[in-house]
Amino acid sequence: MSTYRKSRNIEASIIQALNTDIQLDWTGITVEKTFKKVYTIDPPVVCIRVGDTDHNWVEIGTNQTRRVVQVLIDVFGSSDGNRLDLKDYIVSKSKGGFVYNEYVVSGTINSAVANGRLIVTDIQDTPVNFDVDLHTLTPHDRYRHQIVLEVATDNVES
Amino acid sequence: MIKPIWKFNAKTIFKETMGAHMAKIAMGSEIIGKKTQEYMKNYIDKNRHRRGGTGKLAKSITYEPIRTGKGFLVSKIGFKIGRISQLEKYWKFVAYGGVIPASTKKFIRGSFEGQAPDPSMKNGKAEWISGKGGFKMKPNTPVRPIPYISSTVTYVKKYIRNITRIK
Repeated sequence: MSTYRKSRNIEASIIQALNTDIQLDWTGITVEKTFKKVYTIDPPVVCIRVGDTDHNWVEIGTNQTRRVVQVLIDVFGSSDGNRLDLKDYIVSKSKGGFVYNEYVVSGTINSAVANGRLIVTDIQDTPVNFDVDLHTLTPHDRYRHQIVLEVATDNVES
Repeated sequence: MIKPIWKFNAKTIFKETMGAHMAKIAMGSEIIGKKTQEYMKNYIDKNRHRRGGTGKLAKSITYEPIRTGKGFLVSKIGFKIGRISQLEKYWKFVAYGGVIPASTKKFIRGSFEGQAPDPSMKNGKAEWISGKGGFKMKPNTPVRPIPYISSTVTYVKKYIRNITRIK
């Protein structure tokens, strides 16, 4: 049995929250963590990855920091309308932040205990257009969108 | 006749107030622009997925100041990072990841750890090392993204927030 540390807890919490919402309100959409695996699954697919992490000092004279994480959400739509609706949905669900869970894992997830919240402080919303004829692109690359979240934890770390 | 003690001159007033501020704003914009360029180039270089490579994309990230107006009557101050016509052809595929279309693919030079590309080794574990000489290959698997654009935007926003103390 292993206990996830902070970075994995943050990643798993966001993936779990968005996956739960998407499965509840949509059909036929896969949420994936690994970029390369997306190309083995038929669109629509949502890929959630955690990017850079900043550790900002809370004040001079202490070692306490507050973590701010960049989360990259790639939407691979099945059509242009699907792309727009799905990205608007994800943005609306992200605005309120996410529950921060602490995970204990043994093969699969044994337990996920809620312990605070993840606060979304900034959202970037960018269409991905490769400027080539759509028919030359793979189906996954034709209707793409990228949402970048800046997510802060609600507590300080020593 | 009563002589005026102080003569109203709009140009002088503008030059001494907003004109002086414009110079400081232009200087600040240049500092931010050059830091942005440096950050983006370093990010690409440090986050390569494979060894070798020409470094052409990082080298093509340029800084250009924007300043419209004449003298101290400036209407726009800013900067541009990267000129699309000069960027490497695959700059978007590197930033966002994806499968490069067959019609636009060109051969890249390198080797699989010294060995030539071999279709029978399709699921092999050897690493592709780009570089001069070696053998020619056209990649068919998706390019893994190096999110240099989104990372730089986040960096610039954070930098401006810190220097202006806006939270």
